[in-house]
Amino acid sequence: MDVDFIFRIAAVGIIVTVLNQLLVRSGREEQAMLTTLAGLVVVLLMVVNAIAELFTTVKNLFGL
Amino acid sequence: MELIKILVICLLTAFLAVLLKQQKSEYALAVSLAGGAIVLLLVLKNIFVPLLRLRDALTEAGIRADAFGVALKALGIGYITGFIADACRDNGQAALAAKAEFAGKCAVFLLAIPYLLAILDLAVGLIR
Repeated sequence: MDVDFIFRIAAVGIIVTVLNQLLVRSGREEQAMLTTLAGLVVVLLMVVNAIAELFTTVKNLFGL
Repeated sequence: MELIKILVICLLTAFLAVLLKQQKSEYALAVSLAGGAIVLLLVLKNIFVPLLRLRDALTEAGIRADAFGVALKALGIGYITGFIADACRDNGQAALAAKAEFAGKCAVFLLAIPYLLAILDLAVGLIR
């Protein structure tokens, strides 16, 4: 669950950056923007799940 | 060793965050949040057992267990608030971080009010 999760997010970030550069160079700025947004949504979903798990763990542990 | 693993994860996350900061800074935020969450989860898994043992020892010693429960709650609030406030501050949102910390302080204060009132009643009782 832990280290590979961080690698996964970094990999998505790097792939989206490369794709973005590729699309911009080939003159398709709109697709570049869409790709960036799509990658961002995927990453945000993964991060939100991790943070939600953290918050529920803290809530159970500390009786909040 | 648990500590070494946590430190390596922190270093790794920092490295990846810096790597991603030039092109896409939102991914740097995502990586640092994810790394922070994972480190906190690892730490929590180690902290929990000793805390329960401490609570049992306190209840045997006759000290009211709910007082320790409130202390644990305050610790939890501080834990989460610090995590989010630092994440905000890392990404240049100092104002947001200050507001998050203010909210955390208010939450802890709300927790402490019953005990403040109890102390007040005790003091008033002694004076009269």
